[in-house]
Amino acid sequence: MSRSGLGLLSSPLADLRMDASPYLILPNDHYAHADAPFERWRHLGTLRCGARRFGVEVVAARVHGSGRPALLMASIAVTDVAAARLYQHTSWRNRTPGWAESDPGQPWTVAIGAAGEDGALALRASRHDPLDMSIEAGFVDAATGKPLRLKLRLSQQRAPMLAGGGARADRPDATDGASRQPSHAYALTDLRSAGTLQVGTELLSVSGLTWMEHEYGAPPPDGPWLRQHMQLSNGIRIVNEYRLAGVPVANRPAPSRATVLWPDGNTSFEAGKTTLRMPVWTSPATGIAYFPHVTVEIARLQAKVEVMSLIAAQELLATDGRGAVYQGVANAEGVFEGGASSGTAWNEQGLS
Amino acid sequence: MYPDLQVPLPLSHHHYAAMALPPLPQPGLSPAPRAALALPIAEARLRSILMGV
Repeated sequence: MSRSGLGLLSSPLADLRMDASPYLILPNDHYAHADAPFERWRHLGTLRCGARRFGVEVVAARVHGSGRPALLMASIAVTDVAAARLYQHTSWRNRTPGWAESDPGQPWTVAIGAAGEDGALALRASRHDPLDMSIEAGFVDAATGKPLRLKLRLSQQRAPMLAGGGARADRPDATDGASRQPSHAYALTDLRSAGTLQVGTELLSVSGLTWMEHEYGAPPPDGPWLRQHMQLSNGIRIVNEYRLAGVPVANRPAPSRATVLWPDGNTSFEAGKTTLRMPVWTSPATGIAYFPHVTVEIARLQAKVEVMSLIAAQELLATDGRGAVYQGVANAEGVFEGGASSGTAWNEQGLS
Repeated sequence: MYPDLQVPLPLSHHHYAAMALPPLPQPGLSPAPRAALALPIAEARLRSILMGV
């Protein structure tokens, strides 16, 4: 992509470290990569309304299929912690032209579904600043019949996190399993977010510090996985992840890898270990056992952080009722470089 | 150092002025029916892949 979009940056965003990776040019790479076999934008995080807390996740993803049109997935989930309730909606569509803008000269837009349609979402930004974004999403929760609607404005406050330290990783090619294909990803970890959340008849003013990821290239491989996001009070941001070789086992540390964003804007990639804690939460709908409590350790950074879901029951279901993924709003508590630190977190598990 | 904001930001005119807000879905109203897509693999597995690492 050309660098023509750089001139659009407003002054706070001009401080982003554009030279941090040869694989990422922002805001240009914020736009769609139509040639990539897979692309995903995802917003997640904790929103507050007074003492109430909500977990929110909005996902727009596209994947190519062999012998069929590319698919779009729209997923919206809201966890009401006080009510111990997860509201959710997922829909699938064939790819529609123009669903995601790829031209950095145009306003940034990612939209799935027509305005007002159940489960539709729209991610937008102004022409003047592609990283100053908004979200609109609405759906009717099938389990409760409640309508939900989210309307947020989001503004990034610091340099992006480069996944794996350089915004690029190689993944096994899905077709032959032997060769490797590149995947690119970055995260905006400090989105100052504010707006409204409607849950049933309640209309709430919400705000928080949320997170957005954008990934494109080779799709993730099949198989079980875990990932935790942490926003710590010392300014450190961490994504910890690993793939499971078999069934998950509690209280047995497993090698994991963590991407760490530092206050100076640098990103590092660290080896660590992750331990799944008891008790598990077993979904009554699917029988899958998930781990609301996960311990993440990075020895080199004297870091040990406990990630604990704010409510245990945060399983997202496929439309046929099968368990798809666990997406949990969580807390982080522990130590980093020897000092106590805590913050908000996100606890994810793909164990189906 | 990076406190959560408790006060909502003012809405930006360049975001919302240009956005025709969709009506809120109503539980009593059925959305326009869409034919179920034939997914290449089981939905739960496909979704786990799309959200994976």
